[in-house]
Amino acid sequence: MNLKVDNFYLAFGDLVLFENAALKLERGKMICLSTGVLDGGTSFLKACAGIVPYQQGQVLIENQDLQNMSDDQRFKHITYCYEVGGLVSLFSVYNNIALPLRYHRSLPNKIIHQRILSAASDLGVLNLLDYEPYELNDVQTRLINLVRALVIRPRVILADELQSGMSPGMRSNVIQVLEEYCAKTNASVLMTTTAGDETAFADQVYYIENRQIKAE
Amino acid sequence: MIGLVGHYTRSFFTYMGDITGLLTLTIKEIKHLTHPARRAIFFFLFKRQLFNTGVRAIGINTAIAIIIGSLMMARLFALLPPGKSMAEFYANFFVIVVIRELGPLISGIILIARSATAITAEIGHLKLYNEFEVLQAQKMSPIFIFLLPVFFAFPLSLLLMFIFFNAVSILSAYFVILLDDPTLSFTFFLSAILSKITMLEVIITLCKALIGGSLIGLISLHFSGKVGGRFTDISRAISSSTTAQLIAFFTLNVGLSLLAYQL
Repeated sequence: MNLKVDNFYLAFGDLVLFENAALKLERGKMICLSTGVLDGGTSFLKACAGIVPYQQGQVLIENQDLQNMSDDQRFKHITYCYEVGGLVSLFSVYNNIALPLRYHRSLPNKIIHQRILSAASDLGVLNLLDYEPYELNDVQTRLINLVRALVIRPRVILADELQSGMSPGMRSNVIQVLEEYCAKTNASVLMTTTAGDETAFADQVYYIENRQIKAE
Repeated sequence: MIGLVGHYTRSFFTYMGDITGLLTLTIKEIKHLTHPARRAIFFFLFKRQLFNTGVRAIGINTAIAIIIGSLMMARLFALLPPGKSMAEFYANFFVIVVIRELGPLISGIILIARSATAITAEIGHLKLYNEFEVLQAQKMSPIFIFLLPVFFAFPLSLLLMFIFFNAVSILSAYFVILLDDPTLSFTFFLSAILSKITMLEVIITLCKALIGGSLIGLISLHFSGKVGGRFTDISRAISSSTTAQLIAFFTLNVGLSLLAYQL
């Protein structure tokens, strides 16, 4: 099991988003979490990535409790792709992708460069690498977030509304790239989706109802 | 009235606590420099910061140093006692006025006006647009990436600005003296000044640069860290940090000068 969430409780002040929620993501699988407006999909992914603290429950990544993992372990195991933003405006797009890998792993620049070119080429964004983040539109920003995730090569990718605004061709290419990544590395993907997004590729589709996560 | 005094006292101590806490956090992040890849990231950001803060200030620093250097000479000619050597008289004056007081103050004001405001706006922008969280999501320390380069670049920039300011002031003063006394050699003029500079001057100047620069940087970081979700928070942070920096830097300069030269 790459990701297992149990008895999950998440609240912001009086606003309770999840209560006793659970979810399982097996190795090599891709699942979708259908979200509505302000129902907590983004917060759930951020909590699973260790960005937002949750109040109760357990998030296990490859049988390790997220709370007990060091930053380096979390970096190697799980990556969150932002729906909006997610890039640091001080750095170019290329450096936004390269920086986390340089920071955490002592990989030679040549290998990092090759990984970036390969992932950017697969997703059709090679021409964006020299841009600055402010020059990208929303879809391009999400794709660059995904390039960064693929370059890091984590065990679990959490992609927040990745498909929003994409053309059907672009969408099927992105899904194909993720399927190949999962098949090759045995990693898993949890993707939040919204109305009009493709979910047919998913091994399982979940939705949020009454502060719980339910299977379709 | 008592309530007001209590409020200001509490605010002052909270502020001092925040600055001390920020200093501690920043120092703690130095541990990352032992990691070779992180050290390379730090030096990339540090060099960028040093270039923006120290090197790009050379123009304005030169202009002000030329004006001050030549203006001082023009005024000194009027005050020169009969039979006194201009070079000798200037050397005394230069050490007491420029090296001890004017150089540090003007360089500090340039640093605050040019770079500290820019850093407050830059970090405030990063805070406003949630970019600290972006680094945290990648399990990178925002303090190491955003704050540590500023913390080291500011004092070093200020020291470079002191040295540059003094050098340009000496040169401009020399050229003004040459108009009156074309026989004056630069070596004689320079050695007259250098002979007046004691170890105490060097130590106090270093303290003013290193403590002052660090303090200016920390205050910028402190106020930019307070930026919340409103765009106006950035302008408020710039205004508050500039006021606090001017007060802190002037107090430090006067305090160190009194401590070193008066007591």
